[in-house]
Amino acid sequence: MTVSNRIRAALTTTVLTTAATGFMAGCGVGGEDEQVAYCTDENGKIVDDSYCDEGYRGPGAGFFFLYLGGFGRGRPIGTVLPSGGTRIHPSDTAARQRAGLPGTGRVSGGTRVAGGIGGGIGNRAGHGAGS
Amino acid sequence: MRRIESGVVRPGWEAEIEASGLVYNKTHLPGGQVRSYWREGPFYDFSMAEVQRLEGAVSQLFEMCVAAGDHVIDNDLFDRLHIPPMARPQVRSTWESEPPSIYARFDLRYDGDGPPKLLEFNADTPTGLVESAVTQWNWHLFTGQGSDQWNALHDTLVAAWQRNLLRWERRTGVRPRVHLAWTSEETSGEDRMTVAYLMDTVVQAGYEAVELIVEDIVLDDGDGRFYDQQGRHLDVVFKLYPWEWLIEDEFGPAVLADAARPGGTTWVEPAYKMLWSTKALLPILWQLFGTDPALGQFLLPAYFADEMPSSWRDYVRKPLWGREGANVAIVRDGAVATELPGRYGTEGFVVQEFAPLPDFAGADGPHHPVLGAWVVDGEPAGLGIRESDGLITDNLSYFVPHTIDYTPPRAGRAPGS
Repeated sequence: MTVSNRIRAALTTTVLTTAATGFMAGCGVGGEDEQVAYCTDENGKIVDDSYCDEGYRGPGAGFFFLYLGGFGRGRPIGTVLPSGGTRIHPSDTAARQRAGLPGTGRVSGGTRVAGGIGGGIGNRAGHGAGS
Repeated sequence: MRRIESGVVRPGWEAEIEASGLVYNKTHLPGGQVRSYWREGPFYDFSMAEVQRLEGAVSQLFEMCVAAGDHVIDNDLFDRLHIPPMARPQVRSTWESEPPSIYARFDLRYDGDGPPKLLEFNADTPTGLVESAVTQWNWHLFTGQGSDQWNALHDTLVAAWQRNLLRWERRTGVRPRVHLAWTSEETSGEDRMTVAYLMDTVVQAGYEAVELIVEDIVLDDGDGRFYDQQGRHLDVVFKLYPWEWLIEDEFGPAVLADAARPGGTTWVEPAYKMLWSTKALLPILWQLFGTDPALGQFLLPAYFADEMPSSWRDYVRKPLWGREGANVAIVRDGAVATELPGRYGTEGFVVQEFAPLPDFAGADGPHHPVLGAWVVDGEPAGLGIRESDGLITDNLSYFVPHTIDYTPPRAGRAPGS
Protein backbone atom coordinates (compact mmCIF):
# COMPACT_ATOMS: atom_id res chain seq x y z
CA MET A 1 0.00 0.00 0.00
CA THR A 2 1.33 3.44 -0.95
CA VAL A 3 0.85 6.17 1.59
CA SER A 4 3.61 8.52 0.48
CA ASN A 5 4.91 10.48 -2.49
CA ARG A 6 5.96 8.28 -5.39
CA ILE A 7 9.46 9.70 -5.70
CA ARG A 8 11.48 9.47 -2.51
CA ALA A 9 13.46 12.61 -3.11
CA ALA A 10 13.43 16.22 -2.05
CA LEU A 11 10.47 18.05 -3.53
CA THR A 12 10.89 20.71 -6.17
CA THR A 13 9.57 23.78 -4.40
CA THR A 14 11.14 26.69 -6.23
CA VAL A 15 8.42 29.21 -5.46
CA LEU A 16 8.39 28.28 -1.79
CA THR A 17 12.15 28.39 -1.27
CA THR A 18 12.43 31.68 -3.13
CA ALA A 19 9.64 33.14 -1.02
CA ALA A 20 11.28 31.79 2.13
CA THR A 21 14.65 33.30 1.24
CA GLY A 22 13.05 36.66 0.57
CA PHE A 23 11.06 36.46 3.76
CA MET A 24 14.03 35.54 5.93
CA ALA A 25 16.08 38.29 4.35
CA GLY A 26 13.33 40.82 4.97
CA CYS A 27 12.73 39.77 8.53
CA GLY A 28 16.25 38.81 9.49
CA VAL A 29 18.48 39.61 12.39
CA GLY A 30 17.93 43.34 12.23
CA GLY A 31 14.25 43.15 12.97
CA GLU A 32 11.09 43.74 11.07
CA ASP A 33 11.47 45.51 7.77
CA GLU A 34 14.56 47.35 8.89
CA GLN A 35 16.34 48.74 5.86
CA VAL A 36 20.05 48.09 5.75
CA ALA A 37 22.86 48.70 3.25
CA TYR A 38 25.62 46.39 2.02
CA CYS A 39 28.37 46.84 -0.50
CA THR A 40 27.77 44.33 -3.28
CA ASP A 41 28.98 43.49 -6.73
CA GLU A 42 26.67 43.72 -9.71
CA ASN A 43 25.19 40.31 -8.87
CA GLY A 44 24.14 41.35 -5.40
CA LYS A 45 26.99 39.44 -3.70
CA ILE A 46 28.30 41.13 -0.58
CA VAL A 47 31.93 42.29 -0.92
CA ASP A 48 34.33 44.12 1.35
CA ASP A 49 33.17 47.62 2.33
CA SER A 50 36.26 49.18 0.81
CA TYR A 51 34.95 48.55 -2.73
CA CYS A 52 32.12 50.99 -2.06
CA ASP A 53 34.33 53.85 -0.94
CA GLU A 54 33.72 56.42 -3.67
CA GLY A 55 37.48 56.84 -3.91
CA TYR A 56 38.05 53.18 -4.88
CA ARG A 57 39.89 52.91 -8.21
CA GLY A 58 41.00 49.28 -8.18
CA PRO A 59 39.84 46.31 -10.30
CA GLY A 60 36.11 46.29 -10.99
CA ALA A 61 35.72 49.94 -10.03
CA GLY A 62 32.32 51.18 -11.17
CA PHE A 63 30.69 47.77 -10.75
CA PHE A 64 30.18 47.89 -7.01
CA PHE A 65 27.04 49.27 -5.43
CA LEU A 66 25.53 50.16 -2.11
CA TYR A 67 22.57 47.83 -2.04
CA LEU A 68 19.65 48.70 0.22
CA GLY A 69 16.80 46.55 1.45
CA GLY A 70 15.33 44.66 4.37
CA PHE A 71 18.11 42.06 4.32
CA GLY A 72 18.81 41.89 8.04
CA ARG A 73 22.08 42.79 9.73
CA GLY A 74 25.17 40.68 10.08
CA ARG A 75 25.23 39.00 6.66
CA PRO A 76 28.76 37.83 5.80
CA ILE A 77 30.83 38.68 2.73
CA GLY A 78 29.91 36.35 -0.11
CA THR A 79 26.21 36.27 0.67
CA VAL A 80 24.08 36.85 -2.41
CA LEU A 81 21.27 39.19 -1.48
CA PRO A 82 17.82 38.73 -3.04
CA SER A 83 16.67 40.95 -5.86
CA GLY A 84 14.22 43.73 -5.24
CA GLY A 85 16.51 46.06 -3.29
CA THR A 86 17.69 49.53 -4.28
CA ARG A 87 21.11 50.09 -5.87
CA ILE A 88 23.02 53.26 -5.26
CA HIS A 89 26.28 54.09 -6.99
CA PRO A 90 28.87 54.81 -4.29
CA SER A 91 29.79 58.16 -5.82
CA ASP A 92 26.16 59.36 -6.03
CA THR A 93 26.32 61.62 -2.99
CA ALA A 94 22.77 62.92 -3.34
CA ALA A 95 21.26 59.42 -3.56
CA ARG A 96 23.32 58.28 -0.60
CA GLN A 97 22.06 61.14 1.48
CA ARG A 98 18.46 60.60 0.40
CA ALA A 99 18.82 57.04 1.65
CA GLY A 100 20.09 58.24 5.00
CA LEU A 101 23.70 57.16 4.39
CA PRO A 102 26.77 59.33 4.75
CA GLY A 103 27.35 61.24 1.52
CA THR A 104 30.89 59.96 1.14
CA GLY A 105 33.24 57.30 2.46
CA ARG A 106 32.77 53.67 3.36
CA VAL A 107 29.54 52.22 4.64
CA SER A 108 29.85 49.30 7.01
CA GLY A 109 27.96 46.24 5.82
CA GLY A 110 24.56 46.01 7.49
CA THR A 111 24.41 49.72 8.27
CA ARG A 112 20.89 50.69 9.09
CA VAL A 113 19.33 53.04 6.59
CA ALA A 114 17.09 55.92 7.67
CA GLY A 115 13.38 55.47 7.06
CA GLY A 116 11.31 56.90 4.25
CA ILE A 117 12.56 54.78 1.40
CA GLY A 118 10.36 51.75 1.97
CA GLY A 119 8.37 52.48 -1.18
CA GLY A 120 11.43 52.11 -3.30
CA ILE A 121 12.53 48.79 -1.86
CA GLY A 122 11.20 45.92 -3.88
CA ASN A 123 7.56 45.18 -3.68
CA ARG A 124 5.27 43.10 -1.59
CA ALA A 125 6.15 39.95 -3.49
CA GLY A 126 9.64 40.09 -2.05
CA HIS A 127 8.75 40.71 1.56
CA GLY A 128 6.85 39.07 4.36
CA ALA A 129 3.29 40.18 4.75
CA GLY A 130 3.18 43.47 6.58
CA SER A 131 6.32 42.70 8.48
CA MET B 1 1.48 4.74 17.97
CA ARG B 2 4.35 5.86 20.14
CA ARG B 3 6.46 8.92 20.75
CA ILE B 4 10.18 8.54 20.19
CA GLU B 5 11.93 11.08 22.35
CA SER B 6 15.49 11.00 21.15
CA GLY B 7 15.58 10.89 17.40
CA VAL B 8 18.26 12.35 15.14
CA VAL B 9 18.98 16.05 15.54
CA ARG B 10 20.24 17.40 12.23
CA PRO B 11 23.12 19.87 12.38
CA GLY B 12 21.86 23.26 11.22
CA TRP B 13 18.26 22.07 11.24
CA GLU B 14 16.85 25.44 12.20
CA ALA B 15 18.35 27.23 9.20
CA GLU B 16 17.37 24.32 6.95
CA ILE B 17 13.71 24.33 7.89
CA GLU B 18 13.48 28.10 7.55
CA ALA B 19 15.19 28.09 4.16
CA SER B 20 12.88 25.36 2.90
CA GLY B 21 9.75 27.29 3.85
CA LEU B 22 9.08 27.11 7.58
CA VAL B 23 9.92 30.80 8.09
CA TYR B 24 7.33 31.01 10.88
CA ASN B 25 9.18 28.50 13.03
CA LYS B 26 10.15 30.99 15.70
CA THR B 27 7.16 31.38 17.97
CA HIS B 28 7.02 34.51 20.09
CA LEU B 29 5.46 33.68 23.42
CA PRO B 30 3.37 36.16 25.37
CA GLY B 31 6.18 36.57 27.92
CA GLY B 32 8.60 37.68 25.20
CA GLN B 33 10.45 34.37 24.89
CA VAL B 34 11.04 32.81 21.49
CA ARG B 35 10.81 29.10 20.90
CA SER B 36 10.82 26.68 18.00
CA TYR B 37 7.44 25.55 16.65
CA TRP B 38 9.11 22.58 14.95
CA ARG B 39 10.32 19.82 17.28
CA GLU B 40 13.66 18.46 16.11
CA GLY B 41 14.52 15.13 17.71
CA PRO B 42 11.23 13.73 18.99
CA PHE B 43 8.77 12.16 16.58
CA TYR B 44 5.74 9.92 16.52
CA ASP B 45 5.86 6.47 14.99
CA PHE B 46 2.94 4.42 13.66
CA SER B 47 2.63 0.91 12.37
CA MET B 48 1.44 0.58 8.77
CA ALA B 49 -1.69 -1.12 10.10
CA GLU B 50 -2.46 1.97 12.20
CA VAL B 51 -1.97 4.25 9.22
CA GLN B 52 -4.30 2.07 7.16
CA ARG B 53 -6.93 2.25 9.91
CA LEU B 54 -6.54 6.02 10.03
CA GLU B 55 -6.86 6.26 6.26
CA GLY B 56 -10.02 4.20 6.35
CA ALA B 57 -11.47 6.39 9.07
CA VAL B 58 -10.64 9.56 7.12
CA SER B 59 -12.37 8.20 4.01
CA GLN B 60 -15.45 7.38 6.02
CA LEU B 61 -15.45 10.73 7.81
CA PHE B 62 -15.30 12.48 4.46
CA GLU B 63 -18.26 10.47 3.19
CA MET B 64 -20.16 11.35 6.36
CA CYS B 65 -19.43 15.04 5.77
CA VAL B 66 -20.81 14.76 2.25
CA ALA B 67 -23.99 13.23 3.66
CA ALA B 68 -24.16 15.98 6.31
CA GLY B 69 -23.90 18.60 3.57
CA ASP B 70 -26.76 16.99 1.68
CA HIS B 71 -28.77 16.92 4.90
CA VAL B 72 -28.25 20.64 5.57
CA ILE B 73 -29.19 21.61 2.03
CA ASP B 74 -32.17 19.27 1.70
CA ASN B 75 -33.58 20.42 5.04
CA ASP B 76 -32.62 24.08 4.68
CA LEU B 77 -30.73 24.20 7.97
CA PHE B 78 -28.75 27.33 7.05
CA ASP B 79 -30.19 29.34 9.95
CA ARG B 80 -28.88 26.75 12.37
CA LEU B 81 -25.41 27.05 10.81
CA HIS B 82 -25.54 30.86 10.84
CA ILE B 83 -24.86 31.03 7.11
CA PRO B 84 -26.35 34.35 6.00
CA PRO B 85 -29.16 34.30 3.43
CA MET B 86 -27.14 36.12 0.77
CA ALA B 87 -24.53 33.32 0.74
CA ARG B 88 -26.97 30.43 0.50
CA PRO B 89 -27.55 30.41 -3.27
CA GLN B 90 -23.77 30.20 -3.82
CA VAL B 91 -23.42 27.45 -1.23
CA ARG B 92 -26.18 25.49 -2.95
CA SER B 93 -24.91 26.01 -6.46
CA THR B 94 -21.30 25.09 -5.65
CA TRP B 95 -22.51 22.02 -3.78
CA GLU B 96 -24.29 20.97 -6.96
CA SER B 97 -21.67 21.86 -9.56
CA GLU B 98 -18.56 20.82 -7.60
CA PRO B 99 -16.13 23.51 -8.75
CA PRO B 100 -12.44 23.03 -7.91
CA SER B 101 -11.80 22.01 -4.33
CA ILE B 102 -8.29 21.06 -3.36
CA TYR B 103 -7.78 20.26 0.28
CA ALA B 104 -8.98 20.09 3.87
CA ARG B 105 -7.79 18.76 7.22
CA PHE B 106 -9.53 16.63 9.82
CA ASP B 107 -8.31 17.07 13.38
CA LEU B 108 -8.45 13.74 15.15
CA ARG B 109 -8.01 12.44 18.66
CA TYR B 110 -6.08 9.19 18.45
CA ASP B 111 -4.00 7.16 20.87
CA GLY B 112 -3.25 4.05 18.83
CA ASP B 113 -5.75 1.92 20.73
CA GLY B 114 -9.33 2.87 20.04
CA PRO B 115 -10.70 4.34 16.80
CA PRO B 116 -9.73 7.91 15.87
CA LYS B 117 -12.35 10.48 16.89
CA LEU B 118 -13.17 13.60 14.92
CA LEU B 119 -12.47 16.80 16.86
CA GLU B 120 -13.18 19.16 13.98
CA PHE B 121 -12.91 19.65 10.24
CA ASN B 122 -10.78 22.50 8.89
CA ALA B 123 -12.31 22.51 5.47
CA ASP B 124 -11.95 26.04 4.16
CA THR B 125 -8.53 27.50 4.98
CA PRO B 126 -6.39 24.84 6.60
CA THR B 127 -2.77 25.69 7.35
CA GLY B 128 0.02 23.54 8.69
CA LEU B 129 0.53 22.45 5.10
CA VAL B 130 4.15 23.49 4.57
CA GLU B 131 5.36 21.65 7.66
CA SER B 132 3.27 18.58 6.78
CA ALA B 133 4.07 18.38 3.08
CA VAL B 134 7.60 19.78 2.89
CA THR B 135 9.39 20.14 6.24
CA GLN B 136 8.62 16.70 7.63
CA TRP B 137 9.18 15.03 4.25
CA ASN B 138 12.66 16.56 4.06
CA TRP B 139 13.24 15.49 7.66
CA HIS B 140 12.20 11.92 6.87
CA LEU B 141 14.46 11.75 3.81
CA PHE B 142 17.44 13.29 5.57
CA THR B 143 17.30 11.41 8.85
CA GLY B 144 16.33 8.09 7.26
CA GLN B 145 14.16 7.36 10.27
CA GLY B 146 11.15 5.17 9.64
CA SER B 147 10.54 2.97 6.63
CA ASP B 148 7.95 5.44 5.37
CA GLN B 149 5.81 8.45 6.26
CA TRP B 150 2.08 8.99 5.68
CA ASN B 151 2.67 11.80 3.27
CA ALA B 152 1.44 11.77 -0.32
CA LEU B 153 0.55 15.45 -0.06
CA HIS B 154 2.77 16.75 -2.81
CA ASP B 155 1.79 14.19 -5.43
CA THR B 156 -1.90 14.43 -4.61
CA LEU B 157 -1.95 18.23 -4.59
CA VAL B 158 -0.39 18.34 -8.07
CA ALA B 159 -2.89 15.73 -9.26
CA ALA B 160 -5.77 17.62 -7.63
CA TRP B 161 -4.95 20.82 -9.51
CA GLN B 162 -4.56 18.88 -12.74
CA ARG B 163 -7.91 17.16 -12.45
CA ASN B 164 -9.86 20.18 -11.23
CA LEU B 165 -8.34 22.72 -13.58
CA LEU B 166 -8.71 20.48 -16.62
CA ARG B 167 -12.37 20.05 -15.76
CA TRP B 168 -12.72 23.82 -15.37
CA GLU B 169 -10.96 24.33 -18.68
CA ARG B 170 -13.25 21.92 -20.50
CA ARG B 171 -16.33 23.55 -19.04
CA THR B 172 -15.35 27.13 -19.89
CA GLY B 173 -13.14 26.71 -22.95
CA VAL B 174 -10.58 28.94 -21.23
CA ARG B 175 -7.21 27.82 -19.93
CA PRO B 176 -7.25 29.28 -16.43
CA ARG B 177 -4.58 31.32 -14.77
CA VAL B 178 -4.61 30.59 -11.04
CA HIS B 179 -4.21 33.44 -8.58
CA LEU B 180 -3.35 32.46 -5.03
CA ALA B 181 -4.18 35.03 -2.39
CA TRP B 182 -3.16 35.58 1.20
CA THR B 183 -3.99 38.41 3.56
CA SER B 184 -1.29 40.87 4.50
CA GLU B 185 -2.91 40.96 7.94
CA GLU B 186 -1.12 37.68 8.64
CA THR B 187 2.45 38.70 9.37
CA SER B 188 4.14 35.51 10.59
CA GLY B 189 4.77 34.32 7.03
CA GLU B 190 2.63 31.21 7.47
CA ASP B 191 -0.11 32.21 5.05
CA ARG B 192 2.36 33.55 2.51
CA MET B 193 4.43 30.34 2.58
CA THR B 194 1.30 28.21 2.33
CA VAL B 195 0.36 30.12 -0.80
CA ALA B 196 3.91 29.93 -2.18
CA TYR B 197 3.94 26.17 -1.71
CA LEU B 198 0.56 25.76 -3.34
CA MET B 199 1.88 27.86 -6.23
CA ASP B 200 4.58 25.21 -6.71
CA THR B 201 1.90 22.54 -6.94
CA VAL B 202 -0.13 24.61 -9.45
CA VAL B 203 2.96 25.16 -11.62
CA GLN B 204 3.83 21.47 -11.50
CA ALA B 205 0.28 20.71 -12.56
CA GLY B 206 1.03 22.70 -15.71
CA TYR B 207 -0.79 25.95 -15.01
CA GLU B 208 0.27 29.55 -14.47
CA ALA B 209 0.27 30.62 -10.82
CA VAL B 210 0.16 34.24 -9.71
CA GLU B 211 0.63 35.41 -6.15
CA LEU B 212 -1.86 37.95 -4.89
CA ILE B 213 -2.66 39.80 -1.70
CA VAL B 214 -6.31 39.66 -0.75
CA GLU B 215 -6.26 43.38 -0.06
CA ASP B 216 -5.00 44.03 -3.61
CA ILE B 217 -7.94 42.36 -5.35
CA VAL B 218 -9.64 44.90 -7.60
CA LEU B 219 -13.37 45.01 -8.23
CA ASP B 220 -14.21 46.75 -11.50
CA ASP B 221 -17.22 48.95 -10.79
CA GLY B 222 -18.17 48.80 -14.46
CA ASP B 223 -18.39 45.08 -15.16
CA GLY B 224 -18.58 43.85 -11.57
CA ARG B 225 -15.70 41.45 -12.18
CA PHE B 226 -12.50 40.86 -10.21
CA TYR B 227 -8.96 41.65 -11.37
CA ASP B 228 -5.45 41.78 -10.02
CA GLN B 229 -3.47 45.01 -9.91
CA GLN B 230 -2.08 44.37 -13.38
CA GLY B 231 -5.60 44.21 -14.76
CA ARG B 232 -5.67 40.45 -15.30
CA HIS B 233 -9.03 38.82 -14.70
CA LEU B 234 -9.21 36.44 -11.76
CA ASP B 235 -10.29 33.18 -13.40
CA VAL B 236 -9.58 30.87 -10.50
CA VAL B 237 -8.50 32.21 -7.11
CA PHE B 238 -7.22 30.12 -4.29
CA LYS B 239 -7.97 32.26 -1.24
CA LEU B 240 -6.38 31.65 2.13
CA TYR B 241 -9.17 33.74 3.56
CA PRO B 242 -12.23 32.23 5.23
CA TRP B 243 -15.57 32.48 3.49
CA GLU B 244 -17.25 33.87 6.59
CA TRP B 245 -14.81 36.80 6.50
CA LEU B 246 -15.19 37.24 2.74
CA ILE B 247 -18.95 37.56 2.87
CA GLU B 248 -18.81 39.92 5.84
CA ASP B 249 -16.53 42.18 3.83
CA GLU B 250 -17.88 45.08 1.79
CA PHE B 251 -16.71 43.05 -1.23
CA GLY B 252 -18.91 40.17 -0.08
CA PRO B 253 -22.07 40.84 -2.10
CA ALA B 254 -19.99 41.51 -5.24
CA VAL B 255 -18.04 38.26 -4.77
CA LEU B 256 -21.26 36.29 -4.54
CA ALA B 257 -22.93 38.12 -7.44
CA ASP B 258 -19.92 37.72 -9.72
CA ALA B 259 -19.44 34.05 -8.82
CA ALA B 260 -23.05 33.38 -9.79
CA ARG B 261 -22.59 34.81 -13.31
CA PRO B 262 -21.17 32.82 -16.23
CA GLY B 263 -17.50 33.70 -16.57
CA GLY B 264 -17.33 34.90 -12.99
CA THR B 265 -14.38 34.21 -10.72
CA THR B 266 -14.12 30.68 -9.33
CA TRP B 267 -13.08 30.76 -5.67
CA VAL B 268 -11.12 27.88 -4.16
CA GLU B 269 -12.10 26.50 -1.72
CA PRO B 270 -15.73 26.77 -2.87
CA ALA B 271 -18.48 28.49 -0.90
CA TYR B 272 -19.97 25.15 0.16
CA LYS B 273 -16.99 24.70 2.48
CA MET B 274 -18.94 26.90 4.90
CA LEU B 275 -21.12 23.84 5.51
CA TRP B 276 -18.09 22.01 6.88
CA SER B 277 -15.85 24.65 8.40
CA THR B 278 -18.46 25.60 10.97
CA LYS B 279 -18.45 23.58 14.19
CA ALA B 280 -22.18 23.13 13.58
CA LEU B 281 -21.05 20.21 11.44
CA LEU B 282 -20.25 18.27 14.63
CA PRO B 283 -23.79 18.02 16.09
CA ILE B 284 -25.17 17.35 12.61
CA LEU B 285 -22.77 14.44 12.12
CA TRP B 286 -23.65 13.09 15.54
CA GLN B 287 -27.36 13.39 14.85
CA LEU B 288 -26.98 11.52 11.55
CA PHE B 289 -24.41 8.88 12.48
CA GLY B 290 -24.02 8.82 16.27
CA THR B 291 -25.92 5.57 16.64
CA ASP B 292 -24.41 3.89 13.58
CA PRO B 293 -22.25 1.04 14.92
CA ALA B 294 -19.61 1.38 12.19
CA LEU B 295 -19.53 5.14 11.68
CA GLY B 296 -20.47 6.43 15.12
CA GLN B 297 -17.16 5.15 16.52
CA PHE B 298 -15.32 7.97 14.72
CA LEU B 299 -17.45 10.69 16.33
CA LEU B 300 -17.73 12.24 19.75
CA PRO B 301 -21.24 13.04 20.96
CA ALA B 302 -21.99 16.67 20.06
CA TYR B 303 -24.96 19.01 20.26
CA PHE B 304 -25.90 22.58 19.58
CA ALA B 305 -25.45 24.31 22.93
CA ASP B 306 -29.18 24.91 23.32
CA GLU B 307 -29.91 21.21 22.82
CA MET B 308 -27.31 19.88 25.22
CA PRO B 309 -28.58 17.00 27.40
CA SER B 310 -29.31 18.36 30.87
CA SER B 311 -27.20 15.58 32.39
CA TRP B 312 -23.97 16.79 30.72
CA ARG B 313 -21.40 18.05 33.23
CA ASP B 314 -18.10 17.56 31.34
CA TYR B 315 -17.80 18.84 27.82
CA VAL B 316 -15.97 21.16 25.45
CA ARG B 317 -17.73 24.27 24.22
CA LYS B 318 -16.69 25.60 20.82
CA PRO B 319 -17.89 28.71 18.98
CA LEU B 320 -19.44 27.99 15.57
CA TRP B 321 -16.82 29.94 13.63
CA GLY B 322 -13.80 29.89 15.96
CA ARG B 323 -10.19 29.42 14.84
CA GLU B 324 -7.03 28.11 16.49
CA GLY B 325 -8.76 27.26 19.73
CA ALA B 326 -10.10 30.79 20.29
CA ASN B 327 -13.00 30.88 22.77
CA VAL B 328 -12.87 27.12 23.26
CA ALA B 329 -13.75 26.21 26.85
CA ILE B 330 -13.38 22.95 28.74
CA VAL B 331 -16.23 22.54 31.20
CA ARG B 332 -15.71 20.14 34.10
CA ASP B 333 -18.45 19.31 36.56
CA GLY B 334 -20.62 22.06 35.09
CA ALA B 335 -18.06 24.86 35.48
CA VAL B 336 -15.57 26.31 33.01
CA ALA B 337 -12.19 24.80 33.88
CA THR B 338 -10.12 26.20 31.03
CA GLU B 339 -10.99 28.78 28.43
CA LEU B 340 -8.99 30.43 25.69
CA PRO B 341 -9.63 34.08 24.90
CA GLY B 342 -10.93 35.28 21.57
CA ARG B 343 -13.51 37.24 19.69
CA TYR B 344 -15.84 34.44 18.68
CA GLY B 345 -19.01 33.09 20.18
CA THR B 346 -21.70 35.66 19.49
CA GLU B 347 -22.73 33.43 16.57
CA GLY B 348 -23.48 30.55 18.93
CA PHE B 349 -21.75 27.48 20.34
CA VAL B 350 -21.71 23.73 20.01
CA VAL B 351 -20.79 21.34 22.79
CA GLN B 352 -18.80 18.16 22.34
CA GLU B 353 -18.14 15.38 24.81
CA PHE B 354 -14.90 15.98 26.69
CA ALA B 355 -12.43 13.36 25.48
CA PRO B 356 -9.06 14.36 26.93
CA LEU B 357 -6.24 14.13 24.42
CA PRO B 358 -3.89 11.23 25.13
CA ASP B 359 -0.65 12.08 26.91
CA PHE B 360 2.58 10.76 25.41
CA ALA B 361 4.60 12.12 28.30
CA GLY B 362 8.34 12.59 28.03
CA ALA B 363 11.12 13.66 30.34
CA ASP B 364 10.10 17.25 29.64
CA GLY B 365 6.49 16.80 30.67
CA PRO B 366 3.14 15.99 29.06
CA HIS B 367 2.60 15.92 25.28
CA HIS B 368 -0.93 15.94 23.95
CA PRO B 369 -0.99 15.28 20.21
CA VAL B 370 -3.74 16.12 17.75
CA LEU B 371 -3.53 14.33 14.41
CA GLY B 372 -4.18 16.53 11.41
CA ALA B 373 -5.26 14.14 8.67
CA TRP B 374 -5.17 15.73 5.24
CA VAL B 375 -7.76 15.18 2.57
CA VAL B 376 -6.77 16.17 -0.96
CA ASP B 377 -9.41 16.12 -3.70
CA GLY B 378 -11.63 14.08 -1.41
CA GLU B 379 -9.07 11.38 -0.61
CA PRO B 380 -6.87 10.79 2.46
CA ALA B 381 -3.42 12.20 1.65
CA GLY B 382 -1.20 12.51 4.68
CA LEU B 383 -0.65 13.44 8.29
CA GLY B 384 0.68 16.36 10.32
CA ILE B 385 0.83 16.23 14.12
CA ARG B 386 0.71 19.15 16.51
CA GLU B 387 1.19 18.63 20.20
CA SER B 388 0.54 20.88 23.17
CA ASP B 389 1.46 20.85 26.81
CA GLY B 390 -2.18 21.54 27.65
CA LEU B 391 -5.42 19.99 26.45
CA ILE B 392 -6.45 22.70 23.98
CA THR B 393 -4.40 22.78 20.79
CA ASP B 394 -3.85 26.46 20.08
CA ASN B 395 -1.51 28.58 18.03
CA LEU B 396 1.30 27.93 20.57
CA SER B 397 1.45 24.22 19.86
CA TYR B 398 4.44 22.35 18.40
CA PHE B 399 4.68 20.50 15.11
CA VAL B 400 6.15 17.02 15.53
CA PRO B 401 7.08 14.87 12.51
CA HIS B 402 6.15 11.21 12.21
CA THR B 403 7.30 7.95 10.69
CA ILE B 404 5.89 4.55 9.85
CA ASP B 405 7.55 1.38 11.16
CA TYR B 406 10.59 2.94 12.78
CA THR B 407 13.33 0.57 13.85
CA PRO B 408 15.80 1.91 16.40
CA PRO B 409 19.35 2.09 14.97
CA ARG B 410 20.87 -0.56 17.25
CA ALA B 411 18.46 -3.19 15.99
CA GLY B 412 19.42 -2.36 12.41
CA ARG B 413 17.36 -0.65 9.77
CA ALA B 414 14.38 -2.47 8.31
CA PRO B 415 15.20 -3.90 4.89
CA GLY B 416 13.67 -2.40 1.79
CA SER B 417 13.22 1.04 3.35
